[in-house]
Amino acid sequence: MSTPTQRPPVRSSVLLAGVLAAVLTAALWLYLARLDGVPDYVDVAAGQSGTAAGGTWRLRGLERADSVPNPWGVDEPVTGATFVVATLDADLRAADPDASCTFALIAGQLTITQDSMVGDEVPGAVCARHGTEPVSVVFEVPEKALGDIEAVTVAAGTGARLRLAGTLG
Amino acid sequence: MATLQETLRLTAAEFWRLLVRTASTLARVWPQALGLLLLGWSANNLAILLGTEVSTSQPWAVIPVLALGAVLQLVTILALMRSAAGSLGRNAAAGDAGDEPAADPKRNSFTWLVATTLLTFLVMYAAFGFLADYARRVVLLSTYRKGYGDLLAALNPLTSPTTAVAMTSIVVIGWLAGRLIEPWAERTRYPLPVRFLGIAVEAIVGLTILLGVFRIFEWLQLWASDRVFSAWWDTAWGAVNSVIHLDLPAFVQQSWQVFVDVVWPVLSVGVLRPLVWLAMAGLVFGARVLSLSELWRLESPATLRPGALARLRSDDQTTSGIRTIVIRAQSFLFDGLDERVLPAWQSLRLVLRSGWAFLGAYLIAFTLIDLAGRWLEHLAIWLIGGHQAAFWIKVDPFVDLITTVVVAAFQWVLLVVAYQRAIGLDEEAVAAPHGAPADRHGGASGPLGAVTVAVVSIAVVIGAGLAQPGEVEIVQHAATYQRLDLQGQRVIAAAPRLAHAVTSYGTEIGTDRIFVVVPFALGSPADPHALGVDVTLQAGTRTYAPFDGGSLVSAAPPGFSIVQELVFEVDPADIGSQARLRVRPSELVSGTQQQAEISLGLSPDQLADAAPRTDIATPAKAAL
Repeated sequence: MSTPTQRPPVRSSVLLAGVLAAVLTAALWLYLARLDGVPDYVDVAAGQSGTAAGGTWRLRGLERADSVPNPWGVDEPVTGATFVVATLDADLRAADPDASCTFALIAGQLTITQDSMVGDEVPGAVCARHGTEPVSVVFEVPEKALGDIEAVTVAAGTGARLRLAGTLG
Repeated sequence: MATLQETLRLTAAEFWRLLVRTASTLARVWPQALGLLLLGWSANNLAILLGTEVSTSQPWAVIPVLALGAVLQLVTILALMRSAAGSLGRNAAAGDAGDEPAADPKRNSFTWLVATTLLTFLVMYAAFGFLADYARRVVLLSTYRKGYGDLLAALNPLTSPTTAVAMTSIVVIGWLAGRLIEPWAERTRYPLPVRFLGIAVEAIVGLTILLGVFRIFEWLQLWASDRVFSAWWDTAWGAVNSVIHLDLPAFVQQSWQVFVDVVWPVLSVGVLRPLVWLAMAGLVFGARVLSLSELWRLESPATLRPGALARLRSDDQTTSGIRTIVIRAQSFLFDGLDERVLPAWQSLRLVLRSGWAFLGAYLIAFTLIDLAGRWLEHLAIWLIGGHQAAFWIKVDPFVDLITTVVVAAFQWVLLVVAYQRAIGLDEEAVAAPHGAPADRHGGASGPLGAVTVAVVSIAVVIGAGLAQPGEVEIVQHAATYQRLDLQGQRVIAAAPRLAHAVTSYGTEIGTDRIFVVVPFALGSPADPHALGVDVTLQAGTRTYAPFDGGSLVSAAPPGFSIVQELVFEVDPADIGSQARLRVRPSELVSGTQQQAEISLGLSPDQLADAAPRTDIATPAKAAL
């Protein structure tokens, strides 16, 4: 290490080593932080299927709906919004029995989670079906974001989270 | 009066001398200082990153990772101090008291310096909260990046059998490894890496023991508070109280609280910390003392003479019987432990002998540099502004550069300069003829000088404590109907109305004070990163939460806003222009945030017009 009579090359070597170490550390720190808060999805192209927690999912389509029936009547969207119903083909026969489904609609900057108060089925319970029936999930979406819709995500609690690409219509 | 003035003059002169010499020394060694402190910063942050990565899979592995990070950072600090000492002309680590340095080149080496000072440094680091801060950063990053695990419980040997076994294994294996590494280092052709390995093992064992002892101490405290004798103790207090008619427990408790809240922070942070660090700095100048085993052989430390060490080291053969067994057992079990403690103790004694003027000047210089560093960091954070947690997680290490590199460079060099001055004063005192105590005490001898310096120093320490910058607050000021953007959330409040009763969901609630009903909208133009916002009503020194108890207004779904009416039950005396809403983003982990203060535009005149009752609207959601 240093000595009482350090020559300039020794001093500059220490400085250089320090600066180099700091730059590398900073780069590593920022590299690892780049994904902070960014969900880790497995992208599935439009019309293709993906597997999450033993279940196989495919986005069949996305339809706009001005109202959605429920067991007691009809749900209507709030001012300036509309409903978007996503229909997914799901094969849940081999799904993880502990899985619990959550769905979200990606529309530009917005990640809109499923509206669990709308429709006639609680989306979280879908995974417990263990069948092959299609799944309908309702999202309440601001009208001005309709053109930005790009995907539906499926998270089953365990395993990969899928991002199933698709657009309205 | 003349003595008083002389004492103050000497203190000021010492203060100025310390500052000038610190600046000039730093000007000479700045490339090494910057390089070494950047290396230390890198080690610290790499350890935090690595600790975060292993925290979920192997929580106990966080301990060795943190220990290694602390060791590497301490090594760079020691190297910096040694370099600064060298630039001052002191043969650092050479044992300047003349304990035959040339006879034992091992004791001149940097590795020996690190080996003998590291454990004491580590204890100081733990005692003054540096290790706790270190661990806090790992927990914070781990929580943010890996989610809510129970890292702290997993690191507790009393709650996790795996951790208990792992920690016990670390201590036992580390201790045995330490016994083997030392002779290996003596024989190998490459002693440097082997000695550093030994140091790293020692630090891991030390940190593990510290953590374990802390947990066991904590457990013992809890256990004791739950025992029968705790009830006996309460009974005894009651009996004493009945005899002397003084609420002794309350008196003792209040005295203790004053000590804990007022006296101890000043003593520990303002006085003890600088003095102990200065004593630690003395270790890089070389130890002047012998180890316990050497003292045992010598019978009495009073008989120490220059050159005695060499003779003592060679007289193992001359001892016999049980004394030999004790010496060897002690050397095997605690080899080197006393070498770490006694030099620090002797160093502290030397510092305390250096005179009141010097001690006062040093305390003031250390305190002011520390204060300047805190304000510098405060200024940097203020310039950066308020942001959400994700931003601060990214930039935290870079803000930390101010403290761990810029301010630390001044502090560590100040320590070296001050210790060199302490040695100089000691040597002057030794060289001075008998009957010249003023020299030893820097001219500030006698009770008056001591009291003067103590009063001035404590006043500066307390003043610095009061002048601490506190939390940075980035506050936007607005009036009602003005829209604000708080870290991505849109906030707006409408004009409030006053009422003596409110009706919510068909239930009427009255008050003997006054209800302030504030329509409040919160929107999320994009995905909100916060849970929502905390909203309180502030008036003068009072802070009111919404009367239903919760101050959290949940975030609106992305792309929507939610309008709701917040109801505050307020003392009528607080209805006035000073009444305002304080809005702060609510995050699980937060740094310096953007906040808002919305003036409600109230005046006392409105009290007369307060409605007898008002309906509280149900929350309404709308697309943005």
